[in-house]
Amino acid sequence: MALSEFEIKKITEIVAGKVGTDLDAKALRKVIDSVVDNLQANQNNPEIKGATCEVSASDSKAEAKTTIGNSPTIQKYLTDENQVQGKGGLYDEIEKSDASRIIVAAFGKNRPGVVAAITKILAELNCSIEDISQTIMQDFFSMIMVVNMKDCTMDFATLREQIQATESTLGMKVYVMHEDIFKYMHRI
Amino acid sequence: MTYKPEEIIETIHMTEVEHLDIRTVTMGISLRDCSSPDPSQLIDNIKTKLLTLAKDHVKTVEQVSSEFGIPIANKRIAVTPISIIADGHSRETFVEVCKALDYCAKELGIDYLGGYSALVQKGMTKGDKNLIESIPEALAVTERICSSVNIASTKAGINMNAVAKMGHIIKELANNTEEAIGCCKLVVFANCVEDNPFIAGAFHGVTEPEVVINVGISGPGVVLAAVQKAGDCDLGALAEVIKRTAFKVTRMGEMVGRKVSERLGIEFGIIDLSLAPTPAEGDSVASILEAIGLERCGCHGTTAALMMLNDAVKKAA
Repeated sequence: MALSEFEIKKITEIVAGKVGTDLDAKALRKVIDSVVDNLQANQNNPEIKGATCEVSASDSKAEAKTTIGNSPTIQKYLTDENQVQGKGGLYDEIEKSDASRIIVAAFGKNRPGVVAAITKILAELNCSIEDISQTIMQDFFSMIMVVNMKDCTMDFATLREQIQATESTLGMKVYVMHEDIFKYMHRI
Repeated sequence: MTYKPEEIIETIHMTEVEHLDIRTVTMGISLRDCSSPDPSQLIDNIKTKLLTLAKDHVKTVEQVSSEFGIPIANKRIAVTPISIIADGHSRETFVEVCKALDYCAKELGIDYLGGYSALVQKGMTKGDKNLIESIPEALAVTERICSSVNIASTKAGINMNAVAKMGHIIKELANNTEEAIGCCKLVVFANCVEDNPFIAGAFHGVTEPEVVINVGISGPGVVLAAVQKAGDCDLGALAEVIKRTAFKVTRMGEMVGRKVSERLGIEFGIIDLSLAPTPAEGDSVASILEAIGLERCGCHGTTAALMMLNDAVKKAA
């Protein structure tokens, strides 16, 4: 029984909903594989309507090994991390869903308080700055930040509005863009 | 994953300064199951199908556009060539179907709906003939419907009867509409493609799936900037620059297409990269040709430069 992409996606959703977001992408992948394997093994049994798999959210790694480590696919993953990395497809998809990083860039005439004004907003909204670079060429100032908004108390659209609202007071051009744009354009 | 500042600036530059935009996200919808010998039933079927399947199209596309900060110029729909769906009906019914499509487009907030089309490169059925003859009236009484007629293909040759007929149709359509605006909504094709997301030639081919999301991207400004930046170099290097740029633009289109298709739960089809110029400053194909080295667009070498440009763009996509 080959499961379609759609079915796998559904399973992913169900699993993610059940075990909560504490499970990291790799563990989640393992859980799905176990469920899929289970379904495949029982494909000829009309009695079997679904498969269950137990993973404790608090200790996902250890549990994943003991409860779903029996499947040959999983064991391969557990022993060979690279295999997981290079798997592509579903794995990448899950990994991608974790991506909640945005790029904030500001350009304009240099003046004091630019970084402070922007970081203040970010701090208030519980965003963390992962990387920041700035250059000042003569009077021209440019700053680029990579911001993780995983724990942000606001959605992306509102966050962007808030940050861009500083444009007028700072007299600079401020861009707020989703990381995916850069990922698609510059990484394959 | 980290990015170099140049990469980030390049992307921002592309979207903000060089007019990179997604020209259209087109939802292709098959109407093959809507046929009926009863005209009112046929129209009902088409309305129901379009209004159900595409109800979230505009909303979703706008969401993706604002969320990712990429401008998406148009939200469109392409349907199965109406000459196939309404074959057997009278010329008057074809006009009614066109009006129904227009109603759906307005109801859904769609910019343009393509597919009031006939494929007659080899010959005409009654339906094809009725559709073609209805075009001057149908496009005059509707606003958002686009029509296309394919009259030739490399395999079948040129249907000269259709060529002659279309000449009269175009003239009649021009007469029927103010400033001949109706003709802007009509394309006469040779070798049309079945999954073209661009208006006015968009239609949903018979070999296409039930519903599909296709993306059309443009960006002469982006290519122009890249060519200008490349400066004095040989044609091989220039082709490489164009290819790389076109690839980046294509990836942007792919991202938008995938996001929209994921959110709508509809299969993602194709990306079409065409250098379609707009009246915006710096969004011109002729400027690219001149940046390649022509003294003036239209002088000796224009065709060669255009060939090279097209070739490099298509290789990337």
